[in-house]
Amino acid sequence: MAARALPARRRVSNAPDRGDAPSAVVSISAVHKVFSDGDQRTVALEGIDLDIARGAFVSLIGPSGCGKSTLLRLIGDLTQATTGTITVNGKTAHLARLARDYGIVFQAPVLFDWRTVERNVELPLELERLPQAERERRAREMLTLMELSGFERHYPWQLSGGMQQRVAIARALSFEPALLLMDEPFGALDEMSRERLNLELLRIWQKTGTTVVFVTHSIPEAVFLSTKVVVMSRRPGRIVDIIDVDLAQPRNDLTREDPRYFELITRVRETLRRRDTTQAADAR
Amino acid sequence: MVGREASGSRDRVARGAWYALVIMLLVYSCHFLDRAVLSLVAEPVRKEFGLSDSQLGMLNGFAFGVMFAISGIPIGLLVDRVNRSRLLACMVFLWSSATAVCGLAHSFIALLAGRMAVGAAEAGGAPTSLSLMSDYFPPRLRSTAVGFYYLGNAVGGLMIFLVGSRVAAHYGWRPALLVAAVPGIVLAVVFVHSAFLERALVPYVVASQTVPIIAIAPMVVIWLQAGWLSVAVISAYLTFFPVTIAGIRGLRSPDPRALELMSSYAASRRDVLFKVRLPAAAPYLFTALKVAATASVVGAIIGELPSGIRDGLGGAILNFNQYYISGPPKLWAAILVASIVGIGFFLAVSAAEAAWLRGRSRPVDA
Repeated sequence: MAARALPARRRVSNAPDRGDAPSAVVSISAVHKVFSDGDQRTVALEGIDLDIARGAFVSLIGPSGCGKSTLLRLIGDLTQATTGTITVNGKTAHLARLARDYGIVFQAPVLFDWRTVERNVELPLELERLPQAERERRAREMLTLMELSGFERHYPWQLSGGMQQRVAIARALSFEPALLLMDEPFGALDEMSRERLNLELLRIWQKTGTTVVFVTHSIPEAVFLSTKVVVMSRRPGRIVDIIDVDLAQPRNDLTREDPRYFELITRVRETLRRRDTTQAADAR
Repeated sequence: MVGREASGSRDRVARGAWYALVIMLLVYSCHFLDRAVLSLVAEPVRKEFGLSDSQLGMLNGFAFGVMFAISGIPIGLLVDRVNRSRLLACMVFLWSSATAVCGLAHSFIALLAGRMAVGAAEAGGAPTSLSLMSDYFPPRLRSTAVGFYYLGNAVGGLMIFLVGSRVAAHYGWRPALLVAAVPGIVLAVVFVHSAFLERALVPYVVASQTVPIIAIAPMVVIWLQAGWLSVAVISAYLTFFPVTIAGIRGLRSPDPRALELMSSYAASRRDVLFKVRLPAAAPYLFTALKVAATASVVGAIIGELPSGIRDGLGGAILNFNQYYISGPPKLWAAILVASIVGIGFFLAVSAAEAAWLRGRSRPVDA
């Protein structure tokens, strides 16, 4: 079970170990997803093959309607593939969900307004039936990590949008899931908050070693955050290219001025354009 | 209280909404009046036609209840499709006319047909009004509006006791039924000419009013014997539907993503229920309970009437009503106590709601 060292307090699972090499946390092969609405059939995803290594930060980027959110939801077992297989930690996506392998952050924070910030973060821990003291300790730890100390007893409506999203991230990480799934988590925020949260997310990612799958439609954001950028094409959604982002770690504000950063942004943009001249994704 | 809240949020309450609410309250009073008035004159009617108990029960409960239930569905569909204020006007006109027909009936069958018509038309009363109210008032005022609307039960009851009983005593049952028909018909005319009430709709039809409590009450007393249990059941019957409907809506109210989030935590159904659905339903339930708080008192009073309990409020109202000429203050005192109890329940629920919501939601701007 050596490969399961990260993150630290993982539950022991009966999943088969996938060998000595740092194995893929997520393995997607030949996945198709078709939505049927009456006799209307829409092919959302076609022939998706993707491996996501442990500890990677992978962004899915593409024009709207390219199925990037659908792919994320497939990984998280919030919807099921029409054909093909998805393996997470050596289990099916379904079993991985039952084993609480996923922390999910949506574009909206989806906080429960009858719970304080602290109790929102504790929610997944309550579901794990952890004792009160332990829940509180972990929630405080996560809130400190997200620089939300002092707001434990606040209710969600008392926080700004950016702070609410940080609470959502703290909640997603509180139970140390193997995989953090983020669906345009900063899409509703202003540019300043977004850049700040990008840095915080990277800091936490490095600290916890969590694997992240991150959906975005911002090319700079994808490049800045990721170790790999998966570029997708419009319907039917296909993976066009997987671009390795070899920017130095840890990344910081200087990274945004690195010539290599701009090169990579250009490369992602051109890949998107090449595949989709009708709707080139806007680099903002 | 009503006026203050209205002025505090004039921008959000539809123009003329309070005026419309008063008219709907009066329509609902007629609703109660025409539903209940036959109970008042049951004895003379039975004597005149030589009716058996089961025939009387048929008139009072079955004929009314069956038609009320059957026509509830097509009328509910109509509520979604036609001009609601006109529909309400038609219905109040129809049920009032039907009551008048009962007053003119010279056979059991004619009386039965009249009662069935009353039942059929009354099914259109409450859903139409509640639907209109949901358009006129912003959510935070709806419970107040609905609570006010339900005062119609009390007003209708008062009309029966103060006017109907007197007419029945002095002039017989026929004039009593004819008089009972008058206010509804007048209202229908007012209605048709009321521009305020003509607005388009998205009704969340509250199907809570498909239960003719006056028709059900005597049956419950027979089944369960007179006593606190039958009174409690009748009262519960009156409050069950608003609370159930609100509960269902509340339980379905969580954001789908909140449910997906819970699913991603592999939360059990029980956890989803207790940690998401029930807390999300609480505001809905409080609103319904405020309505139920006042309705329950009305239910208890109605429940006492056929059960022969004389030491309760309902018994007292019935008793003092007979001695109204010699001691009017007693009846008024009983009515006052009934109102205070109702208001007390209402305030208790409001206090519980305030305690629950403390800090949790954004304060409403005054």
